[in-house]
Amino acid sequence: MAWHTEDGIMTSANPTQEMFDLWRKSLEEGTQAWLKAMGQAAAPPPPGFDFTQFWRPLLTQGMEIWQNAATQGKVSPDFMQQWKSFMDQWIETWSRVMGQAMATEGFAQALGRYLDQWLTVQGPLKKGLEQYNDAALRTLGLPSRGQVVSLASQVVALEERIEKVEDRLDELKGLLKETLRAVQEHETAAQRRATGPEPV
Amino acid sequence: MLDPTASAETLKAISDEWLRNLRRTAKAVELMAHPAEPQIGLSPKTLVYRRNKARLYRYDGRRTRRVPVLFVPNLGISRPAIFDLQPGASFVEFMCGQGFDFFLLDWGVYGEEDNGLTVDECVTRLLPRVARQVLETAGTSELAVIGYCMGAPLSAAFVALHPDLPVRGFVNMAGPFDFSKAGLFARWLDKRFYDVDRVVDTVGAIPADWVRLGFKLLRPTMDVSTALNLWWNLDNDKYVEGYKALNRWANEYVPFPAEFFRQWVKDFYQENRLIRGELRLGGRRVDLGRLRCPVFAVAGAEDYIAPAPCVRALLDYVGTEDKTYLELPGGHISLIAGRAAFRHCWPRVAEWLAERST
Repeated sequence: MAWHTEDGIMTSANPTQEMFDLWRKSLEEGTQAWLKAMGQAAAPPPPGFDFTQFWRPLLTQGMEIWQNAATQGKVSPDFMQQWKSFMDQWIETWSRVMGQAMATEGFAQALGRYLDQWLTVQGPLKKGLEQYNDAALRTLGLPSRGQVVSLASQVVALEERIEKVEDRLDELKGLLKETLRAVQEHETAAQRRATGPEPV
Repeated sequence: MLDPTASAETLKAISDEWLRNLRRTAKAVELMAHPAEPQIGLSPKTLVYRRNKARLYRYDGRRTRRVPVLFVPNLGISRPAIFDLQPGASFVEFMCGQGFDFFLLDWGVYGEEDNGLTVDECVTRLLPRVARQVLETAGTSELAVIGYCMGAPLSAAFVALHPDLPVRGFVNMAGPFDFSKAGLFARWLDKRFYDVDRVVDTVGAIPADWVRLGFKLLRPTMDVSTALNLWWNLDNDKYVEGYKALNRWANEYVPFPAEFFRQWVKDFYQENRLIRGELRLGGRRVDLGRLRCPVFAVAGAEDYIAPAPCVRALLDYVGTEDKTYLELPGGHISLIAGRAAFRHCWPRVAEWLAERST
């Protein structure tokens, strides 16, 4: 089996291993470039930060590897097994690399900024929509979502109050039991005193 | 292209592989044509207590052990079906089979009406009632507590606030304690980047889709990896059944009540108050040093949600010398579901509890 690489023609008795080596090399180079790009994102990202950038290197690289693999050599009987191991390693490597990138402050900052932008748009939009819905439901003579939620909250609060009353009753029951026991002990002691000391 | 000099063996191997691929394709078509949902959470149980959305279940079994076990899972995120996934692959079934009187607290699915629910209320109001119910129902004077994931710090705080509570043992299964070591979530929820007040004030309850997004982002390649493994094992009926059950659970995310989420993120992730001894619940300071019962912590070495050092940290703060730590290969879920859990994790938890249930 032979194929062309940047370094020249590669021949091998173990094409799978060499394909992995080639892939690993290209992955390492791609990863470095990608991590560098992610590291630059630590500075304030440009407006409209594109999160699809995150996936592009992975997809592009995967496609390249498989284009290469598809154009090389003959079919091996354990091709599927090789393919599975190859995919497992590829996924695992990317998972590790992405984990490293996502653990950076740059990523957390970008994520926070993205959320912030979303909330800036979503806040007034949500409020406006709620007001519109409430008005529409009022016109139809139907209770609004807020009213239904408020009613449900009251039911929850009521349940909590009942539970508190039950707790108090349990406490009182406990106290009553203790008092009864004390009274019984007192009565027994009084009876013993009244009958006087038993003859020896 | 096939090599014309290929041996008969090689040709047979290729032909077998093609047949296997055909079987895989047929199974994939069958799965798509009849996407029947598997039944999960089938172990027989009795509802013994309910309050608002929360339910306390007692599972049927031989109950040969004297001390009942209260299992406290996470609130929000996912449903507790994972603990009783399928017959033969269920933590609940395993523990009942070991003779434990097993109680599970299902926090339930909260709605907008529960937005006022806080960590404080869960720990100081709900958990004491649940523990009392366990003792009353089991007719014993002692109990053991297992906290899983978020359920671990919540139940540990509860036990620490009630040193008089007769707890024979506390098990922390993949529960985060030191949030300075809580991995990616701790990084993303850093107060410099994540304004939890603004989030909660704008959206209210944290929608299930947000919870899903957060967890998917934690392991972006997980879906690809799962799909690949499914394809590879499509001709293995047992694997496919297990996958369907796990997948059904894994796609059912649960929202967080607004105030609970605010307090959870602020006090735990952003301020790390529990470990620093600054957490106040019900007006009282939570001191983990008052957790004086025997403690067992189990962590997954590849856990991205509650990394092992973050789980192990509990042992540095409890007020007991009887403490054990176990770190197993695998992630957050592999402690509670799957073959590895069945072989390595559950027997160790059962053994540890059994030694303290006599």
